[in-house]
Amino acid sequence: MNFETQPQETYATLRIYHAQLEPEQLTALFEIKPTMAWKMGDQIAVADSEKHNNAPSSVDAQTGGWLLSSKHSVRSTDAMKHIDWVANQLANHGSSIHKLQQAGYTVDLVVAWFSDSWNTCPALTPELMLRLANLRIPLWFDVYLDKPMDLSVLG
Amino acid sequence: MQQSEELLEDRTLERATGPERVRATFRIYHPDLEPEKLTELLEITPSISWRSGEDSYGWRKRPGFKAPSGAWLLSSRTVMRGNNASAHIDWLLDQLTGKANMIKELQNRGFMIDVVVGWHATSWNTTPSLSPDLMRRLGKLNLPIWFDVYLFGSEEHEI
Repeated sequence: MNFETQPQETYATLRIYHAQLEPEQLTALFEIKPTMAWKMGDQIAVADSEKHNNAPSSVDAQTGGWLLSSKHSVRSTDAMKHIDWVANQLANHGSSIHKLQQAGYTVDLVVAWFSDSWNTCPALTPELMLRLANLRIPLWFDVYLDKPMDLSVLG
Repeated sequence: MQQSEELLEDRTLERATGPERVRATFRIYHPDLEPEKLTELLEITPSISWRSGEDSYGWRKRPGFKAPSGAWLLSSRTVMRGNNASAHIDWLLDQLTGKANMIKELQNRGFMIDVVVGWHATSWNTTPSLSPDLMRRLGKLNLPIWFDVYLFGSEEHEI
């Protein structure tokens, strides 16, 4: 690994989705204000809609969502610092996350990773993996060979 | 009907953001590494190994290139078919079951040990992922992991 294989920009977002999701209930459960949250049927803005001339600027949400992003809280291109920040916000909430998963909620952690190089190298330490495993949160890297963009509503 | 359309959409997205070629490799490096000793210690035959200073080393075996360090590699590349990275990592970790103490001891002696997942995509967006179970297995073996991602048909350099 070297500087050229690191991202131009990266951030981590915890995402919780469910058709019956009530944002206020999750906010109370985690005692954290989400970066963004909505109920099914709410009008939500579409990220980067200006890139696509015919795309609508907002759509009816197909499901409820509650997102917590490190984007404006961590200033670093080290993805592990962003993941660590999200894990810190969720400390001691492993059983709550498990209960949500058992109730059919989709919970994951997506790491947006924008690279200007064709070869790029997302990495994780054993300690960070154990933290996420204990929180029962699957992780995926959303790797783009593209300039940074806001993915907050996508997915 | 709607469900099958959604499933089809999911699979199309998976194909679009999945790798075209994937492999997982457990790697041990040290200047004084003696491959036979590690093979005996771990009771596993490596996919490839070499000593420091060896000529024509590694997968490429280019004459005139001397190894800067000794290495012992176990790779899924010759064993696993398919492009499911989790299956490749799972296979690797199955081979290392019960070896956590040995790995830790080698790390304490200064051996560099990791798992690298070679990930070759032909798209500009790709999505390597890890389940909690897989992260727990890697964490308990004290193994860092990194994805060596190549996007949009770029040239891959064999590690």
